[in-house]
Amino acid sequence: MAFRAGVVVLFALVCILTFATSANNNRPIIGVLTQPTSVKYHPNNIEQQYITASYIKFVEMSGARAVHIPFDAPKEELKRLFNGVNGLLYTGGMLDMKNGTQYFDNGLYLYSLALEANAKGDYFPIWGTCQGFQLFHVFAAELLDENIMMEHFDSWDISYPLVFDVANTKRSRMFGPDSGVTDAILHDFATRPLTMNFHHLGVSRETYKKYPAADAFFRILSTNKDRQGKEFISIVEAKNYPIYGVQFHPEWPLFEWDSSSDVNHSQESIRANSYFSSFFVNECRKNNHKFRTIKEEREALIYNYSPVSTELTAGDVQTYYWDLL
Amino acid sequence: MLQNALLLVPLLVLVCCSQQNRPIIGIMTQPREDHPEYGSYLVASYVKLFESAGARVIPIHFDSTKEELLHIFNSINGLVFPGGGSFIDYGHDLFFPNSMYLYNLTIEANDKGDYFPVWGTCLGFEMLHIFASEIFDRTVLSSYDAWDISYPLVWSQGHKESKMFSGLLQDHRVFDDLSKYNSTMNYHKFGVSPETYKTNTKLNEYFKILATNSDRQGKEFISIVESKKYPIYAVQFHPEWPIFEWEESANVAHFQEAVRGNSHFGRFFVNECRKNNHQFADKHDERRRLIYNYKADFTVTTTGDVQTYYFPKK
Repeated sequence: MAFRAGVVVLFALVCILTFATSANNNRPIIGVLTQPTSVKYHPNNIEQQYITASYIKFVEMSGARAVHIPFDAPKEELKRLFNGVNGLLYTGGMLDMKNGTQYFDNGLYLYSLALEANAKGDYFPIWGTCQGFQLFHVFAAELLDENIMMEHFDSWDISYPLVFDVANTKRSRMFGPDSGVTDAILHDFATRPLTMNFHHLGVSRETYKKYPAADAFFRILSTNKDRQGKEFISIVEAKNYPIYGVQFHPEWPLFEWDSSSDVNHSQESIRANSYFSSFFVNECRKNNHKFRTIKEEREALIYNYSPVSTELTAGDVQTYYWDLL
Repeated sequence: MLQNALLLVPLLVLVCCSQQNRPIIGIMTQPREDHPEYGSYLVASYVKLFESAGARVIPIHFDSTKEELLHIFNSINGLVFPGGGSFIDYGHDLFFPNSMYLYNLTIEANDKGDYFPVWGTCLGFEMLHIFASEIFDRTVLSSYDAWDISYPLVWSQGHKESKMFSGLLQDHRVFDDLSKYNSTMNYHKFGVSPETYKTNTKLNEYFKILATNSDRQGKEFISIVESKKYPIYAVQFHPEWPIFEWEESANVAHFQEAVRGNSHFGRFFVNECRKNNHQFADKHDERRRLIYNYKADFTVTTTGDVQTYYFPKK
């Protein structure tokens, strides 16, 4: 009897362990939202949609594959892609983000799908860099136009050390005790100018006071001061959702080589900025979204497309372009 | 005398602290196995491994002239011999003789105090053993049953004191990542036995063994070496696979420990490449050679690698 009970316990234990290891999805796919070229210099000066290749490299480098999500796709297609991917990335850019533009409306649709999924217990992470960071703030404040909320900053082409909000970082998912970040990385971020800023707009602690919905939604993990000494928020994570935003560009020190920019390519910078990629990809290992068939997955992957060299035109070493739908 | 000594101090500081942070790595292409008459290829995951660690990449066409190879060598900060199925002895195409030419330039540069690192993966590992043994055929290689299998590394004595694993910037979790899980992806039917080192004094003097494994038949092979004298490093397994290759049927680990552990190799090598100041004199020449100018094909259903660059015959 004791033996049988032992076997049952052992069996249960094996099941739990098996479940624990298989709970991680080690083939994550990340959807990256395209945007219209209208405001980015296009080598052939035509209206298309694009993704700067360094965002694709940023997700690939930590063990994920990438899928592009056309900003102008119909809702059913966006839904299909959402169900196939394990996380979403909103890139940087120069769009005027407001209600009625396809980028804003479809960006909001995908964001709402993510909120809905998470509310139902489907852990679905999203990441915003620069413009993506700003867009999440507009969404969180429940506004329909970024121009109402954004403030102006003098922080174009400058690298800063991070000023951590220590109390908040300690209880954050991104840098807390279970995050896997090392002391060396935190130290390098705090003491060296490793984060690459390319923004004229941003949000401050003052903005949060004006928009309590944003304040209730996000936890501020770090800030910086622009050339005029004006403070802006540089990293946030949502308190109750796996939603993350950075005002700077972690992909720049790793993958962009415009020799006139104030970017830090040191080995400390590479190690530190890589952390954001590995953190986010780990978050994307926590759900089991999947394309319905291998064929469907294959057809969606970024490997079907080739970026072109754009160092001399856009300043980014490579860019993917697609026709508008 | 004292004055001379004082002058030396800033010079030494300059030399040991001078690190350049825009390294460019040259990766050797290989003859196409399907249609050698069409030209050469390079699997994109090798490019990605080093790009992710903060380097830019240029392909070195294996069928280039010696003049061209020398020009490239003088302009890049490190050299990679990737895996593949090319012939690594005489009597075939230009891959082996041109690889040896670049290897000889490397030795010459390092002997003159110009710190120039080389990395070999799988076939590159085997070829570097042939060069180091100074027996220019396949004598030092043995047959193994280690195709499509992942192993945890078995560390050799002194691995923690090696250049590869004693770096200040290293994350100490990589030791467990690589030796407690099946993190290293093996794709080889040949290899080098530790027994060979016992009989071949050249190899034994040249390389330090950092890790080994045993194949499906229990036969031991060497997994990682670094040169005792030169910044030359080689791995029998494929660190780029767990991070960048997604063929569904392969026995490859994609969990976070495997990704973190294998990323170490790319980062370590790129950091080595920051230590010399080779550069292209002409920025236009640099720009036109960078891998950014080439398109990779989606090849997972044909070769098993997700993306491959194909280049026309020179």
